[in-house]
Parts: sequence; structure tokens; C-alpha cells
Amino acid sequence: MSSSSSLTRALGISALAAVAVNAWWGLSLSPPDKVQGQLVRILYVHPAVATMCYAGFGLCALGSICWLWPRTRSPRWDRLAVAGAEVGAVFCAATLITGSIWGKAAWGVWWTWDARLTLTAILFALSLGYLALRRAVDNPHSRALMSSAVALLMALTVVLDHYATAWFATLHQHTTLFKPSPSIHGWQLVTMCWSFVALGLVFAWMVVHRYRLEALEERYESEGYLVAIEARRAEGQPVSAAARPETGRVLVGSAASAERAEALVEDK
Amino acid sequence: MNYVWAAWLSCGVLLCVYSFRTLWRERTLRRLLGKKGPQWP
Repeated sequence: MSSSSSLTRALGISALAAVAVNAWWGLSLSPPDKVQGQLVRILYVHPAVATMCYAGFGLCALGSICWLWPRTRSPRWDRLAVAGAEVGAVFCAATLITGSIWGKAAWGVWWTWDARLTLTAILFALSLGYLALRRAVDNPHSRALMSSAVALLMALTVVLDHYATAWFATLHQHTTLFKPSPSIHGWQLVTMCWSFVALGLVFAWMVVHRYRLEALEERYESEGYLVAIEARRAEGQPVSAAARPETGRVLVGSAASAERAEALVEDK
Repeated sequence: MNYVWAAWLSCGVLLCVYSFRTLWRERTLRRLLGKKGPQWP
């Protein structure tokens, strides 16, 4: 059974094509920098993934605020929040990894307790906490309420992180692109701008699929046990005590437990 | 140039692993929920 639709298929193919063009321009066509040399090629990935990390946590905050607001409260906003948080966490990890590699080559160290770096690490830790909290709480209302509080804290950290280079004395360089006269020109500017388009398409594809996954998990939480019972009845066998979960969530809380449920159904 | 390849590859591997994991989870749940599962546009 396919997990894609015509919309996500088009989005996925566009993202792959855009990333391929980004790799071609970034690794081959764009010239080395006069100051940084070949290291500038890391910057055709790092700023874009960092921006997508912010976008993910921004979506998470938007979904959480809309869920908290009584007039707009809907499970859809909670799904958007968790999709943004998880995809944002992945891009945050990519930001830390690529930034660390650039730091080792440019500064001579993998890590330093610079304000921008430290705040990004805190943001990553908060996002892991957010995802762990969602796994720990069973009640959907309590889960959404508590995770919304963490989402707002993450949004505050994103603002601090973004302005860290302006507000604190940091090693990290200041804004390169988003200012009246960008610090880079020509092919370098084109390639860097394209990297935002390419990674933006990847980000959108990931968020759409993660949102769908959350909707499916919610549905499986409510119906998965019934599906297992129906399958058992179809086989003409009673449901054994071993297959009966203590609570619905123990058996059907995630895709992994879904696999276990399927294994129980198939076990004759 | 090794640092450049390391940065690009690590980023690519991370994004690919997450994407395939998400697709796998989605496919598993859709298979379990059968035809009654949500139909996307």
C-alpha cells in the first residue's frame, strides 16, 4: 500500500531534483571563496538546515498557540505541532553536525560554548524533551496542553538563538544573507539562495508525511484494538489473554507496537 | 575538502534515514488500518 499521494509524490520529486541541483552547484559549479576556500561549500547546507530547524519549531509554536486558543482548538493543530517539532529536531541535529564540522575546519575545534551554539544545543535538548513528553502522557488533552507549554519555550529559544549573534559577543558570524546588501555575491549568492529552496521543499515533504503519520497513529490508538479483534474473529479464534492489552495505548501507541499487534494477529 | 564531504554526507544520511523511517511507519499503519484508512488527495 502506497504511503504517497499525487501531491506528496510531486513534492518529493521536486525536492529530490532541487537537492540534486543544489549538490551540483554547491559542490562543483560554485567557485571557492577567497577567504574560506572550499569550506564555503558547507555553507550551502548549514544555513538552510538551520533555517528549516527554526521553521519546524515555528510551526510547532503556531500549532500549539492555535490549539491553546479555545476558538481554534482542533486536533489538527496538535498534529501540526508535533510534525513541526519532530522535523525541526531532525534539522536541528543536522545544524549541529554540519556546524560542528565547519567549526573544526575553520576554528580548529568541534565545539565551543559560544552563545549561538549553546542556544542551538539547548533548543535540540528542548525538542527531544518535547517528543519524550508526548510519548509519556496518554491522555490526548493533557498531552497537547503540556507539550504546548514546551513548544512556547522552544519558540522563545528560537528568537534568542536567532538574535544571539547580535545581542551577545559570539564567534559565530553575523547574518550573511538576510540584510540589505548580502555579504556574498554571484554564484555563491545564487547557490546559497537555492539551498533554501531545496531544503525548504524537503522540509515541506517531511512535515506533510509526519502530519499524516500522526493522524494515522491517533486513528490506530482509537481503532487498532478493534482491528485486531476483527482480524481474530475472521480467523475464527478467540482473543487470548496474552493478546489483550492492559490499556489501548500499551498495544497500539506507535508504529512499533502496531507491528507487535499485527504479529499477534498473524500468530496462529 | 574532506570536511565539506563529511558535512554534506552526514546531513544527507540523517535526512534520508528520518524520511525512510517516517515512510515505513506510515506504510505500516496504513496496512494495518486497511482500506478504511484515510484517503489522501
